[in-house]
Parts: sequence; structure tokens; C-alpha cells
Amino acid sequence: MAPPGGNTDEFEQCWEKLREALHDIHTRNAGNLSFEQLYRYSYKIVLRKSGAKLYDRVKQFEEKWFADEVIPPIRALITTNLVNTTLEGVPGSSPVERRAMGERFLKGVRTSWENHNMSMNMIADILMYLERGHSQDHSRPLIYATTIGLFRDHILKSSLKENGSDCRVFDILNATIIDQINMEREGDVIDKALLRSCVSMLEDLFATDEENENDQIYVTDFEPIYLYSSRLFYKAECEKLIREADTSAWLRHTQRRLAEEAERCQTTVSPLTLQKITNVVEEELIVKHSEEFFNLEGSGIKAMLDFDRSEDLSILYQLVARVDPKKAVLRNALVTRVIERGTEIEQVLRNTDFSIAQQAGAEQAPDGTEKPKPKTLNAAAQQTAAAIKWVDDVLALKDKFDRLWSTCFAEDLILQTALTKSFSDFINSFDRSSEYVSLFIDDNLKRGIKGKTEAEVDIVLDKAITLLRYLGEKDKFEQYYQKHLARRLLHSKSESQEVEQEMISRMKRELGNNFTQKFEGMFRDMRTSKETTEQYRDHIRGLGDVDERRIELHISVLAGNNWPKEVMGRTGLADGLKAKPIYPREIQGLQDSFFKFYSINRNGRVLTWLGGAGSADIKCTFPKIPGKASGPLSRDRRYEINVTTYGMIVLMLFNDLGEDEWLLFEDIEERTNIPQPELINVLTSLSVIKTYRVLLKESQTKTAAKPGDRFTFNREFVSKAIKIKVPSINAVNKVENEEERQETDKKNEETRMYVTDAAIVRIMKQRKELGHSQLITEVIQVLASRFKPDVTLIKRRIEALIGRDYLERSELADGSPAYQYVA
Amino acid sequence: MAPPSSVQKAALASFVSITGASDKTATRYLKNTGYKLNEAVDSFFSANAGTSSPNKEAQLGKLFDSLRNDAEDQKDILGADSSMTYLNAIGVDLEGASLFLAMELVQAPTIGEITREGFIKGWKGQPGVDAKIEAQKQYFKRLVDSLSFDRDLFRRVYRYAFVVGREGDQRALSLENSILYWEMLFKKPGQIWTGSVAGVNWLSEWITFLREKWTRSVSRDMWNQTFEFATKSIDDESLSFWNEDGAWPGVIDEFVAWYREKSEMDVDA
Repeated sequence: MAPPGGNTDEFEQCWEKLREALHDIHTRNAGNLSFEQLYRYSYKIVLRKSGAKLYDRVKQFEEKWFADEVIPPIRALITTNLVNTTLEGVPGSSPVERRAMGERFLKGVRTSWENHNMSMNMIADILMYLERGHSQDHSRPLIYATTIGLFRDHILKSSLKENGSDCRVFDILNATIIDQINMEREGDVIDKALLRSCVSMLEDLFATDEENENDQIYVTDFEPIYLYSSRLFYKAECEKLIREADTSAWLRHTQRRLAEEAERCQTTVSPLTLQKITNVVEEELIVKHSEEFFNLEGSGIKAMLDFDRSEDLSILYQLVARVDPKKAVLRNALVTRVIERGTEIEQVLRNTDFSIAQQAGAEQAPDGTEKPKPKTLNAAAQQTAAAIKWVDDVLALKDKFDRLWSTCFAEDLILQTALTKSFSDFINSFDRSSEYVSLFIDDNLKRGIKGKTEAEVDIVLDKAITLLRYLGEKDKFEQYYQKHLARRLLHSKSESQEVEQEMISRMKRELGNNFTQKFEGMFRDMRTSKETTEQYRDHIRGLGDVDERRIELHISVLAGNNWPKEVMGRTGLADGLKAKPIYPREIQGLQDSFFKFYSINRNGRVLTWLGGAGSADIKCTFPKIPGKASGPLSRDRRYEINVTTYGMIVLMLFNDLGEDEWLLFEDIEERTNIPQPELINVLTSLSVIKTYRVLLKESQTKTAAKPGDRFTFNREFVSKAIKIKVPSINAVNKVENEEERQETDKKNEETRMYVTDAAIVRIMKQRKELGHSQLITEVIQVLASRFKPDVTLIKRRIEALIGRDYLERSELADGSPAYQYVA
Repeated sequence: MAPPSSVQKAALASFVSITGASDKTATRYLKNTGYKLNEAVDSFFSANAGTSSPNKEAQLGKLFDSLRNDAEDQKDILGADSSMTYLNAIGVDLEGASLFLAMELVQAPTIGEITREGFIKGWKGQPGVDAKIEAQKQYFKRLVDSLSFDRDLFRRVYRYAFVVGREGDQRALSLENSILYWEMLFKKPGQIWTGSVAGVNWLSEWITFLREKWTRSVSRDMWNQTFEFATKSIDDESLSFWNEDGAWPGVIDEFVAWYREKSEMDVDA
């Protein structure tokens, strides 16, 4: 647009004034300028429609000014040496020199930028009217932007050909800044403020004169290079760490680096970069090599866990959580370690010999009997000792990981789930876990809680429940608990009725009513039995005929379903008659009398007497031995001997026996009809151990009684105590225990079969037709609270039900296999 | 469908009492004639004159009588000897699938026993076969030939083998008998149980497996599912149709595992 003629002179006059002002401003000589006057010049020019011309003139002026005044000093700072060290990485200068050189360059840049910037601001003020008019003319950027841009185009982006390099000033600047930062990373002290102002220059400049928000040179040009070089730096650093440092050092180093970089963004570089540089450090220092560091022998995660290095673990958690929300590496490491430790517990257990009492506490075996040889434990006691050790070890392990979890892992939910699962995995992979948990409770309820405060007992119960939660085979636990509870109740071994009840109600809370039904039934039986016993006593007293030789009867009436099969007779109730022992006449009378009393109110009930489950106190008189004048043998001795019911039956046979008469094992067996294994136990307990040798065995060996042995009454029996409790001995204990366990397993297996059948039928009855996989899923859901059924078992049961015409195969609409309920 | 009115119900009852047909048939004829009883009965008799005239039943009855041996057989049952003679006469191979085909046709309760009812019903149901041995023989030959491609027929015969093969009122077949029957069924003229591409001899693998690993008897479910498995394994030798989560009986799962392990070992060797 040509200015209208005649105005040219005026324009030139005004421009001349402005040009002088521009010069003054640049030379820091603006003190005398009248900005108002200058503003008018530009105003006038714009009014005369010569704004565009002015714009061009200003631009020309600035370009020239740059070329003449600004660039040369900066160029002067760019020595070949600087180029070489920063860009080419040529060594040769000491770090101190290098830093000084870099700083000089940066300062030069800063100064010229600050000058330029200040000048431009002033100039923009003078030319304000031009800028304002600009809003009508969008074809050009603001004069301010343009002149500021000159700095970018003429300085930063200017080539350095004359210095013998084909790079730009900008590259030198970047490289110098980064070089300074790397020096700081290596431990040097640098001029942070200087760097910060150079960086903020880059933030103030835009890639184009349009000044788009996102086009800061800092973002477009500097940041990528900065991030790239940082990556190289940390990559090298991490490789060095792997070679030289241990995990702990790595953790701390990484943590420090992250903090440093965050601070650097605030003080030296730009806060814009915080997230990006953090990512770089995380990737290079954490992600890429975390597994290597985790697995380091001696300082890796294994050692940290084993030695409770909670500080290390806390850092580790924080670092891992930064880079992976799922914390996969840490999670896997935890799972592996828990399972390893769990397996170790099992192995230690297997390699420990529990036959020798290890602590004073373990000497009192669960049966509460004083040991015949206090140094060795019988098999049952060994089991208990093993169980307690196992429980303690497992809980210790759990406590440890719980502690780590809350102190180091910020109670992370993902890790909690993983820990729970791995505990449950190793506990359930151990085939005796159900038995051991029950034994642990058994032992505590029998003696462990003796003298403990309520709070301490609470802790014991908590432990039990904690473990119970992990057990997958709750049905198996139920069986063991039933067995152990029966023993406690029938032999009055329980330390506290209250705690027993508390245990049950906690189980109920945890596992539901169904689970504790049988246990509660057992307690109910015991309560009613106590009442019944008292009523019976009253009843007998009421009959008036008091017999001198009356036998006290304490009876427990057990309902068949609630009690374990072991108690209800080895052969079960159904064929109990076969194994019915022959009771002595006196006892039979008593039984009849009780039964008559019992039937008064309860017509039609059948009572089966369980010889194996009870015990008897017998008052024995051992007559003085003729010919002995002194010592205990010279007097009659009376003892009260407590034996099992079977023991009583056997002993009473000897009442009628004359002197020097012997009974053969087979005779006893025939006259009592006690099952042979029980009889062996009874006779062994009465004839082998000296303290309880009420009977003499013909072969004075210490072996267990066996068929063919002969027995007689030990007339010379002496004991210091008046009351003697003859322990029940399991002469064939070890084998039997193994057998028993298999028995339990087998029984369990059967029960599971029925339970599975029932579940399938129930589901199918309701659904009529159901796809194969759905049925499997639903069955697993239904059974999950009792045990984890495997699919093979369910399939087998489905086949069996097809065979029994409960189900038939069918197909769903999509052709997938299904079953139909056959009514 | 609206429920039938009382008039219609009465017509239905009369129709059934006159013709002895099922309710379903009766409804069909009555509907076709708009519930005019006489017309319906007429059309019923004219339609069924050819196939199920009492005449044909009588002829079949006579044929049955002629096969009986008065000395040995009960009135309504052909004993073992008479049955065998008859089966031979119509060209049954006693050691192949055609035995079961014949058994299925006359719904024999056990092998070597043919009832009058089964005989008459069975043959009456085959269209266009005269009540003569020669006619039956020719017809039977055609049936036998169709066994290898008529899968439904073969399945029916296969399944019937379990029914007829049981001893007494056992719920299951003994393993030995099952193997015998499988060998009879899965060869010509039945369908041969070998893979259609690489020719895996499934039958022999199956039997080897059972002899090695299976000690129990064969339930109806296992028998029937073996057929389904056989049909599929003929077409798909890689057994890709099988998967662990499927509804196949356990024995089939075990067989697949056994076979795969064995094949792997063969490859290694």
C-alpha cells in the first residue's frame, strides 16, 4: 500500500525521530526520551495510513541492529573450544574450565536477551498505536512478536558456519545448559539462577511469531533434547549401579534422583518438565532394571523381606507404585517369597524330630497323661507339638508380612490380596493344615490357655480364626474339630467352658450356623447328660433301696449325628451290636436300671453303650502279703484307680480269680468281647508300665500285650498315690494314626461325594435344564464355603447321577452340552 | 390353539373308539374334515388301508407262527434257535452290525429272543414289505447297506445294542461285551471308526486304552457318549472338538489325555 503523496516527508520526519529513539533505547540512553511525543509520531504515521511502512522500517532497523550490535558479542563467546566440548564431547578441558566457559556463554546470552527484551518492551510501548491498529490487519504478527522473534531467528537459529560447524547457536545453548545440569548431577555447584533465566528465555520465545501457547521454543526445541540427554545420563548411571551397587543403594539413589529432578524443575529448568523428566528417571532407573535389582543376592527383595529391612521396603514400594499401579514385580516377589517360606516351614517340620520333648510345656501330652518316660513323647503328643510349631511358624510369618504390609506397603489393597492368596495357597498345599489348626485349638483349650488373661486368650482365638479363614477344606477341619472336641468333652479335658463357647461362636460368625451345628449339638448333649445324671441319682435315691456296693453312674447321652464316628464305635452304630462288649453283671444291672429310668420319658429311644468312650474309678483293695512284716506290702492297700470303661471290664474279671490263676489273652477277649486293638491297648496300659502295673503279664517284656500272653492280678502292687489315673495307651499308635488319617480322608471323600451330589440335584431340580459349564460353576459356588471341589469330581458325580437317572444329557439352543433334570 | 369344545371332544372320543387310533391322529383327521365324524373315519380307513390293514398283521402273525418251533418256543416268543434260523434266513450277519440292526427292527428284548409283538410291529412299520421271508431279506439287505451313511439309523442301532446286549436287568454292560459290540458295530457294514484324513485307528486305540486303564463296566451314558465321540473323531482327528471344560464323560477325557501323551511319545521316539 503506497502512502499517499505529500505525506512522505512527514512520514520520514516522524520516522527519523522514532529511529533515533530506537537507537537510544538500545543504547540504554532512553532517559531523556519523551514517550508521549514518540507515541504521537507513531500515532500520526498510523493515522496517515503508513503503519505498514513503519512496521517494515522498525523491522529493518532491528534486523540491522542485531546484525551490527547484538550478534557479534555472542559470536565472540562461541569459541571453538566451547563448540567442541559441548557438542562434540571432545575432552581436553577440565570441568572447572568447562563450567566457567559455559557460564560465560550463558551469561552473554542472558544479558543480550534481557537487553533486547527490555528494549522491545519499550519500543512496543512507543508503537502502541501501531500494535492496536494491527487488530484490523491480521496478515502480520504484532511488531513486538516480530522483533522478539528476531532474537530467535537471528541469534538462536543463526548458523555457525564461520566457526567451522554446521550447527546453530541454539544447539550450543542447549548443549551448554544440559552440560551444566549434568555437572550438577555429578555433584558440581552451578549457577542455577543463570540457567533458570536462560530457560525462561526459551519459555518466552515461540517457534513462530503467532506465539501459539504450545509452541514455546522451550517445549518444541529444548525439552526433547533435554529429556533425551537425561535419559542417556540415567541409563548409563543405572548400568553403573547394577555393576557396583546393591539394591539398597539403588533404591536410595533412585529416590534421591527423583527428588533432585523435581527440585531442579523448580529452580533450574522449567516446572513444565516435571512430569516428563520424572517419567524418564522412573523408566531408566526403576522400570528397566527393577527385576535385576530385586533379584540381587543378599540385598534384593528376598533379603529385605527376610531381614525386615523396612526402610528399604518402603522406598521400594514407593518406587514400584510410581511406575506400575499393579505393582506386578513387587507382588510376584512377595508371592514367591511367602510360598517359599511357607514351604520351608513345612520342610523344617518334616525334618524335626518331635519324639523328644523340646520344651517343658510339650511334655504334657494332649491326653494330659504324665509320661511313662518323660523324655519321649507318644505319637499323638508329637503330632500336637508339630501342629503347634506349624501354627506358630505360619502365624509368625503372617505377622511379619502383615507388619511389612502396614508399615512399608501403605496397606496396599492389591498386595493384600496377593498376600492372602499366597498364604492360603501354601497353607492348603500342606495336607495336614486342617488337622493342625484343629490340634492347635485343641491344645490351647486343654491347657494352653491356663492362667492366661482374657486378652491373651482373645489373641489365641484370633490366631485360630485367622488360620481357619485360610483353610480351603473347611469340611475336613470340621471333622477334626469334631473329633478333638469330642475327646475334650468326654474326658473333661476342656480348660474352660466359656472359651469353648467363645471359640464356637467365633466360628459361627466366620463360617455360618451350618458349620457349628454339630459342635453345638455336642455341647447340648453334654448339658442334658449332666441333668439326666442328676435326675437319675435323685431317682435312685427316691427308690430308697440304698445299696452298699452301689456304683456311681455319670452318663453322657450322645446323639448319633453330632459325634464323630471314632467315638460312636469304630464299626459305626449300625453294626455296633457285633462289637458289643460283655459288661460285668453289676454293670449290666446298672445299665438296665438307667435304661428303665431313661425310657420313662423317652419312649422308643435306643441306647448303645460305648465302652471305648468312658472311664471308671475303681476302688481296689490289695490284701497284705503274708510273710511280709514291714513295708507297704505288710498292710492292706486301697487305691482308687481310674481306667477306661474297657479297663474296668477287664479288671473286674480278675475279681473272681483265685491266687496263682492266670487269664489268657484269648480268654479275656472271649469273655469281654472287647475289640482286639482296644484290648491290646487296655492290657498294655495295665501291665507294662511299672507305675500302673495292676496286672502282671507273663512275659515280663516291655512289649505290648498280644494274643497268647497270660495275665494275673499283681498282688504286690504298690503306689505312692492313692488316686491313680491309668493312661490310655495306643500301643499300635503310629500305624493306627496313619490309618486313622486315611480313614478320615476317605470318609471326607465320601462326604464330599454326597454333598456334591446333593448340590447338583438341588441346582438341577430348580433349573430343570442347565448348560454344562454353568452347572459346574454353580456347583463350585455352592460348595466353596465347605471345600474347593475339583471339576473332575463334579463331572464324575454328574455321570453317576446320569447313571442313576436323575439327569439326562441334552443340548442348549446353541448346541452346547447341557443336562436336564429327570423328575 | 383354542381348547376343543365339548362337541369336538365327543367326536374325538367316538373317533378313537371306532378306529383305535391315537388322540393325536384322531384330532388330525377330525380337523381336516371340520369335525364331521363320519367323513373323518372314512378318510382314516381309506388312508390306512394299505399299510396297517389287519390283513397285514395277520399275515405277519402267520409268518411268525411258521418260524416257531412248537416243541421249544413259547407261544409269543421265538427262542434262541428259531431266532437264529430266522435271522440267517433274512441274511443277518451274526457277527456284525446287522445283528443289532435286526434286533432293533424287531425290538428284541435280548439277543436270541424275538417277540411276536415286536416282530409284527417292527415289520408292519416298514412300508411296502410283504410278509414273506424273501421280501424281508431283500428289504433288510437295503437297510444294511444304508447303515454306513445313514447316521441316524446307525445311531439308533448303536444305542439299541446297549439295550439288547445287557445281561438280565444289569444297568451296565461288562467291559468285555462292550468291546465285542464295538468291534461288531464299528466295522463294515457299520461305520468304521477310523480318522477320515490320516486314518487313525480310533477303535483299536480306544480298546487298547480301555484294556490298560479302565476296570469298570460301561454305563449307558458312556456307551452313548462313545458314539458321539466316535462320530466326531472320524471327522476331526486332531480332536480339536474336545476340550477340558466340555461335558464329555471322564473316561473320554482320560482317553484323550492318554492318546495325546502316547502320540507325543511316538513323535519323540
